[in-house]
Amino acid sequence: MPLSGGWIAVLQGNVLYRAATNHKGRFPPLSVPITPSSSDELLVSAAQQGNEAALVELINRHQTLLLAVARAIVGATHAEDTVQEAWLSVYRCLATFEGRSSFKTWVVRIVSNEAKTRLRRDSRLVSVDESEFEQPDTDTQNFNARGHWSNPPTRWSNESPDALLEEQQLQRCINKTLNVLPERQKAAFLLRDLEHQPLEDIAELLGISNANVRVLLHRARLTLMQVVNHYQETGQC
Amino acid sequence: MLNCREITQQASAYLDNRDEPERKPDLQFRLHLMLCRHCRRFIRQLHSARVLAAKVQSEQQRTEQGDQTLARLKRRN
Repeated sequence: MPLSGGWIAVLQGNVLYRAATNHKGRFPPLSVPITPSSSDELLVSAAQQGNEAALVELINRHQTLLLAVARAIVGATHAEDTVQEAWLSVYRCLATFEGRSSFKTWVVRIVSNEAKTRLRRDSRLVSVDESEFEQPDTDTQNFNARGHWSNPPTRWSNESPDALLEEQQLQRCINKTLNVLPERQKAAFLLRDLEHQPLEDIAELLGISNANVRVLLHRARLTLMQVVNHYQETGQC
Repeated sequence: MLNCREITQQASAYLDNRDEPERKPDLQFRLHLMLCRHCRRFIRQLHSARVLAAKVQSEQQRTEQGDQTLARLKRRN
C-alpha cells in the first residue's frame, strides 16, 4: 500500500510501520523491532542493511532444520561444521540474495550443497546404512496369511492432533522419539511434514531417490504412530 | 484388490499423494478404504501422528545459537 514516493506501509502483528522501498522495490525496515514473529522477508531486508539482530534471529529460527539436513548427509559429527560453513556463505552473500525463493529454501540448499561437497571430498564421512531404505518389515502379528487384519488398530481416545497435543506426557514421548530418529528419517520428516517440501525436492536436497524418501517418511511416521499407540494403551512412553 | 497389509505399506504414499491434488488418486486404495474400517482407522491415526509430531517439533525448532554463531562468523570473515 504506497503512502508516498518510495514509502510503503508494512503491517507486522498489529503494528503498522512506515518503511522505505529500496531500488528493488523491497522494504528494508528502518526501525522495525526484531522479534520472533518478524517475517523472514523483513529479517532478511534488515540483515542486508547490516542489522545483526535480524541475522541472529534468522539463525535462531533455522538452525535446527539446517542441522537436521546436514546430519542426514554428512552425519552428526560433521554437521555443525557444515552448517557453520553454510552460514558463513550466507553472511558473505546475503547482499546478493534477491528473494527469488524463500530465505529458508535458499539457506537449506546452501547447507545441502556444502554437505554434499564435503561428502564428495571425503567419502568416509558417512557409512551408508542401506537397510534404512528397505521397506519396513511386514508386521506378521497383525495380519493373517491373506493380508487381512488379525489384530486391527485399537481406537484412540481422541484422534484429533490438537486434542492429542494437550497431553503433556505424550508431547514428551514424541519429543524423545524425534530426538532418536535416525538422521535421514528425521530430515525427511522435517522437510515433508513440517516444511511441506515436495518429495522430489527432498530427494534432491538429501541426495537420495524419491523412492527412498518415501521409505524414510513411512518409517518415521510408523514409529511416531507407534509412540501414540503405546501412550494410548499405557499412558507412558 | 489390495489387501490390508498392502494398504498399511502404502499408507504414507497415499497421504503424500492426497496432499498434492495434481497427483492421480489411487482408486484401488480408495475402494479398499471405503470397505475397510480398520484401514480407515490406520490411515487416520497415521495422519494424526504425523501432524501431532510436526506440531510438537515446531515448538522445539527455535534455538538460541544465533549470537554465538554470528560471533564465529565475524571472526572468520
